[in-house]
Amino acid sequence: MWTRKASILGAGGVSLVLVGMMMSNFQMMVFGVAFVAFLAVNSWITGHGDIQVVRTLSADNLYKGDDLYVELEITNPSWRRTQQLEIYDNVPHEMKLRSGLNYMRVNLGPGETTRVRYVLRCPLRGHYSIGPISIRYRDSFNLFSQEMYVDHRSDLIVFPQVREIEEAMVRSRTPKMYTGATTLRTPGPGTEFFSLREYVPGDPFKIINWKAFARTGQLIVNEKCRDAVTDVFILVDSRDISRIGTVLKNPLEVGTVAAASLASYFIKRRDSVALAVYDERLSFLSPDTGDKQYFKILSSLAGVAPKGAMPLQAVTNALSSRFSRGSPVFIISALEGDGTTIPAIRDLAGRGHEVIILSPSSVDFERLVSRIPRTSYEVLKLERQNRLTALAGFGARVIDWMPDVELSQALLQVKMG
Amino acid sequence: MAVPSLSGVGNWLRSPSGKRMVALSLFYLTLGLLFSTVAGTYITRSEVHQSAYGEDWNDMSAFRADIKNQGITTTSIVSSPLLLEEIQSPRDTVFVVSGIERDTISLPRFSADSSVIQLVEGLGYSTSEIDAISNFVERGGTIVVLDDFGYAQGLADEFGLGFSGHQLYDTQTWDPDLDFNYVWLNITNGFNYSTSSGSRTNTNPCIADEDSDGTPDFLEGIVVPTTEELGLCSHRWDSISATYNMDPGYDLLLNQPSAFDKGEAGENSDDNLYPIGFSTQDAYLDTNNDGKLTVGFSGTDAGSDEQGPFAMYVKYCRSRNCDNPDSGRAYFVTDGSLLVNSIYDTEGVESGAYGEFNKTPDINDNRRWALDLIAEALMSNDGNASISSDAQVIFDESRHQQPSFMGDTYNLLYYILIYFTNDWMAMLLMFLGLFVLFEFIIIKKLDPEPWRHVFSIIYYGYGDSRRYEYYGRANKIKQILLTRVRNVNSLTREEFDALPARDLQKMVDDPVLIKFIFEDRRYSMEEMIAVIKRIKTWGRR
Repeated sequence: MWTRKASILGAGGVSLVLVGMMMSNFQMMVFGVAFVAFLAVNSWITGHGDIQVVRTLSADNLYKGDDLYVELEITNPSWRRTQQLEIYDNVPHEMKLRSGLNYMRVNLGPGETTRVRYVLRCPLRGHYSIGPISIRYRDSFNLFSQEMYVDHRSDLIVFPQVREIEEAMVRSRTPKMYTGATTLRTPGPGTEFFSLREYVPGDPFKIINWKAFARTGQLIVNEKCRDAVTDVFILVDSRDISRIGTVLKNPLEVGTVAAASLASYFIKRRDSVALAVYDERLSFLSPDTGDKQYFKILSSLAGVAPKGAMPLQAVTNALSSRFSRGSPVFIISALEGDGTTIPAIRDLAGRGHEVIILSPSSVDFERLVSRIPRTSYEVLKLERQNRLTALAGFGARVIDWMPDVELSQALLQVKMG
Repeated sequence: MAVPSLSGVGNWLRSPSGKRMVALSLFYLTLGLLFSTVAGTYITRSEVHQSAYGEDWNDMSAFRADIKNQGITTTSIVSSPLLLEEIQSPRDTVFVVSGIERDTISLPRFSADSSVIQLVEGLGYSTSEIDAISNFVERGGTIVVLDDFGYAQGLADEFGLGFSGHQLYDTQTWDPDLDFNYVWLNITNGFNYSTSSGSRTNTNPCIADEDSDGTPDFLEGIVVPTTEELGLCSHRWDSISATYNMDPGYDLLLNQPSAFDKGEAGENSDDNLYPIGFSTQDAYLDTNNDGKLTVGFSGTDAGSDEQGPFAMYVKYCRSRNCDNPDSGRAYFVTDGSLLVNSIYDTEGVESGAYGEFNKTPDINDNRRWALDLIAEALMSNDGNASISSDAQVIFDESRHQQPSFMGDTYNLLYYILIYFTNDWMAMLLMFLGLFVLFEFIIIKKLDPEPWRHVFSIIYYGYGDSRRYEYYGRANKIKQILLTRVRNVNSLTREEFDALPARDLQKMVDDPVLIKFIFEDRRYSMEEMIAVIKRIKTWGRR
């Protein structure tokens, strides 16, 4: 591409030649030809962008607010100099440059290598990709520039922050809520021996106690204790309305932090955690425990985006067969714009689930971006209070989560119900 | 070398770079087709003739060789006669136009007459070119215009002449050895400019003989002149008989000649326009263009051809009777093939230099006439036959088909360049174009933006401000108050709806709120705020 300088030089050269011809001024024509010749010669000796780039990241997965260290190693494998070479690593706009620069201007000789180092802060969860690398090379006189890309990308996931909620007053009526995975004194699939009993048709052969059979002549089978853990269900509202507020502070953002923190808490306690995210459709992760499940939950939460308007009752109806009996259900929702909230929670509570509603106050989030008239704000708050009171009336434990309140503090506020 | 797979090619075609490459290829293909279509009209080789640089029988290489042998520079103009303006010594220059085969390309121009804008130019040359040629003659240059049915009309108009554009048949002077297309133009004295001027042979240095001793002035006292002494008049010297030809007359052989319009080629001393060569009285112009000689009564019968005599060779001089040797001259002959090799170079024809001919033309004076006018134009009158070092003969090739590949395209481009730097209307347009180009570059041509990372997540948010007004209405507040009352009292919607007003008043137990519930009126802002405060505190008691 011609730069402005080259364009003016070219147009000036041609103009001088033409005007020189008009005025029969030889000197003018010589100047014009010199300009054009200068351009022509420089167009043949431009640099090149034939370079090799390797990007190294300090981590592929990190938590919201963490720093990411990036290093680019740039090598010129060609036998020519690159001339003026600009290298720019395309970083998502959602990431903040904390130190260093993702840009460098170099003139690499044959075989030379250089490095670009910079640190990014990731204030917003999500799935991101760093790259491609933009390259622009110019000739020595900055007359021509060419742009190209090195399609080298590095993917990373920024998980929502995980808060410490150990001290929070989170309770479940199920006995294993507090102790993690322990054996129940009831028979079932498990690892620990429970008792012996007589064989009944249908029992697998592998549980037959052959020694007892040899001793007694009767088929006796080993019964194991059921490894029962609490199944915790977390329902995250990712509907379009949940983006009320700023990008960093809105019901969905704080909701994902809450969901991740709860999941972390319960998985550490060796409970099984299931995650359901509903927006325009329902995404469900079956209850499970362990690091793998934890990673799945965090990855899923990293990718949620506000969209759609799926009603809560449709979610609870769809999941009714999957809910374990009596297991606690966390609903993280601003409870805005959904007329089915009350009947859905009434049904859940009616089926014996402990329903804990963590409701970020959308009206207060909205105040961060809109100047809500005082009267309207108070009325909106009253209406929200009515809604929460009604839900508490059905036995749900409701937490009205204000934007400036920490999650652990909010969880301590469970007082309704 | 790895052969790309079909799917790989398909993927590449679907990629942005592939699409861009395909789009670019199609663009350049279309551009190439357009260009080749336009250029093709110029690339197509057609029969080349009357070119000073061609060696064929119908070219003029023999004439050019004669001039070169006399030590005169020969060159050509392939772009436009506008370049004649640049010639520094027009007095030493002869411009030869032989056959104008192409019309001009030009822009509309403002004119000084009532039409204001002249959309169509004259034939052959643009007005600027004709002005350039005319100025060239005014500055002392010599032009030779040989044309019959071509585009010389525009140039002839400038000198007060009119080409008839019809073929001339002369029943008296056609050449029976060849055919009726060959006509002799017999001129007894080529220097009788007017009926009153008498013979003005002194205007031509080759036959200027002031003392009438039969020896030209520049050879006075020389018995056997050398080639140097003969100079530009060497063609009149017969080395075998050692005699110098002093004949002022010419027998010119023409091929398919035309003639000037009768009314426009009369002797006109005021305009210094001198018709010198005429057809016979029995010559006819094929005015009905039937290709035949159709004789009528004095040419007045409808459908008959016009009868002669017609002027066929006209000389124009800037000075009266061409007395001033330094003044400009213009020679017009109504035959474009007067100097073609097959007629001009009879010796070459006989020796087979131009191929085999069924019939060979007779010896004629075309060569002597042509070289006489060259001598008249370029030879100094200082008593010897020397010529200026700047002497040159320029052939106009700008209106001829070119034999070389892309020659015509090159000529066209060169013509456009010369035209746009010499014609004032074109110059004006070009200035405008350059101005617009510079404006465009300065305004539109931007250097690539410097790359900079922009962190941009904090500047947008989302809220629903449309509902605020709705939530400020009394009815909405009333509805919220009633819902609050219903929730606090743990009533279902049905139970609450069935509740008598008295019971509701008891439940509310606040006169202000009861009034608010039951009274339907407009509230001021202050009243509304007071009511909301009461609702907030209600139920906590």
